[in-house]
Amino acid sequence: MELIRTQALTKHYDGVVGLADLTVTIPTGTIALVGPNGAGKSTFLRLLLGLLEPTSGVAHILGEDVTQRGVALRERVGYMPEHDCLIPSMTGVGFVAYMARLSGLPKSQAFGRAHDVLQFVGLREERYRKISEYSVGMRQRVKLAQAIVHDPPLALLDEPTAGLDPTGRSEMLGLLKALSGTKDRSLVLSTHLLPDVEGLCDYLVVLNGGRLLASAPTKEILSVDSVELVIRIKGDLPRFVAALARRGVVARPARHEVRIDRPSGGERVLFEAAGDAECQIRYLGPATRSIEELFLQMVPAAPGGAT
Amino acid sequence: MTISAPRYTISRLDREPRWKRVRVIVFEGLMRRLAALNIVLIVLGALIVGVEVVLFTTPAFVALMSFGGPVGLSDFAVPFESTPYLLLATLLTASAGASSIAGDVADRSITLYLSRPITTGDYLVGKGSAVGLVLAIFFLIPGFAACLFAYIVGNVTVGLAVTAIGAFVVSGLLLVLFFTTLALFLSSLTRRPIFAGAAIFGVLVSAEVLAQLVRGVTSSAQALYLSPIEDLLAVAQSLFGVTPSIGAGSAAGVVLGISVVGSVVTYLRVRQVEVVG
Repeated sequence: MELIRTQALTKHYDGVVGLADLTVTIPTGTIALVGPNGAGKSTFLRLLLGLLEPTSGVAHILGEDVTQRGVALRERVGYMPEHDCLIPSMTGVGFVAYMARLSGLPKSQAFGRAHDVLQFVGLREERYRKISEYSVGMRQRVKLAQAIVHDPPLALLDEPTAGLDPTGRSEMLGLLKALSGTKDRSLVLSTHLLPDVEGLCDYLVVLNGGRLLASAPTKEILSVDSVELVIRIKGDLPRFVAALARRGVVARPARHEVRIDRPSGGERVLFEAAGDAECQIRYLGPATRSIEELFLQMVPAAPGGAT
Repeated sequence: MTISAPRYTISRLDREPRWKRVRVIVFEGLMRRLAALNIVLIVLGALIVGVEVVLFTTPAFVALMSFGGPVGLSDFAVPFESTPYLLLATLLTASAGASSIAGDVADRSITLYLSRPITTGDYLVGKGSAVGLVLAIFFLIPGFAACLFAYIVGNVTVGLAVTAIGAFVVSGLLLVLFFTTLALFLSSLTRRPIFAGAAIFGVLVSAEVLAQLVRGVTSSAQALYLSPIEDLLAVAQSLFGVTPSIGAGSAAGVVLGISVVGSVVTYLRVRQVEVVG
């Protein structure tokens, strides 16, 4: 099912290209929007939300035109900005309930939902304290809470792990994982931290300098080709490589695994080699690239454009 | 209030109409201003109320002291001819209105406002109404109370009291409209509320000083049109039956014109606000 569709979407800032002629169709699910700083990720999200007017082109989300139906659409979209944007003088629960009411929820429902989502993001007693007293991690949680308080089918999250320490980052990714498991909910996650999206997102959109570099399912985009296989073993890796060589299979060891070209006579020879080397094959599958490897291949050294 | 467990399915939530969302902005803005321990606001409010009580009750004292002597509508115009009153009005506007938009730009919460299902116009109406209500509390209620007080203790007829209340309401609303528009406009130009406050005060006082200087040089009362305070004064004087120095209709036109242009420019300005990290 289609989540986002843009046609020649372009945004210029005083002659600087923010987004250039972007034509893309993105399905529902958990989507990663990746690119270096200045790739146009935030611009893309703001255009989708109607916070910016496109210089040209059109964008549809959830099947509706962003420029024509912006207000109605924003009832069904949550947004977590990259930068700090909370009202310091309000309490966590007061702020989230306020945002819920601005999204149209009645007062009693708004407060109920605010408590629910703050509980979900891990703010318990702290929710009654003023936001000015919160740590960076707590602020990120409140930002996430306000984005989902009205239970939107689509949440646009701009750099949700920015500024978090490793523990906070891991917890935030856990929350996003839980959110992505919600039926009928889609997430668009903008980030330049590539490890964040591996294992979380099932669709990848790569931008650089305001231009689209790739848009495809994560599995598809990360698979190298169908010929190369990856094997992970428990045992003596050099001995396993030698056993493979004796059977005419050229292995390319890399850290804790070996990569081979798929044997023409089938995979049986691999298990025979493992038996000879007294190893256990723990994983055998087609080779994939990490997003980082993909990114380094796709993105030239000198990025440009707007944020 | 009960706290339910988090749900992991999209729920069907009720939605209120847009005007109720605007009302939420108004209420929150009003409460934030009234609840904030802004010592300047409190002191100014107390000063204004004090000055108003003394000035507005003048007709009542006139009535009492003259043993039934006549009290006219013009007796109620005293506060609008008072320089301290208008100066305090300017200071209160600067204090209450400076942070309306500048504060949201400073803490970047404007991004979240505009990402909710409201329009830029809704946002401005909400913010403006909050400021306007704060000003109205100080400018309309005491006038209304003073007229009532004069009626109760003096020999002011019902008709005169009602006419005076009407004049207070019209001139007060015009004052609130103009000052609110000016506050929003200047607040939208900066992300520092203190600069916006200084600009509100500076613009009004500078215009007044300029108008008086030009009037002194040219000996023409027409120069007073340059000052919004003089324009507001002329309208109020006219409503209270005092002959103003300049045409009340033209003065009202100037004030309304500035308000309309200011509102449009503020709208366009907020549409252009781009909050970046």
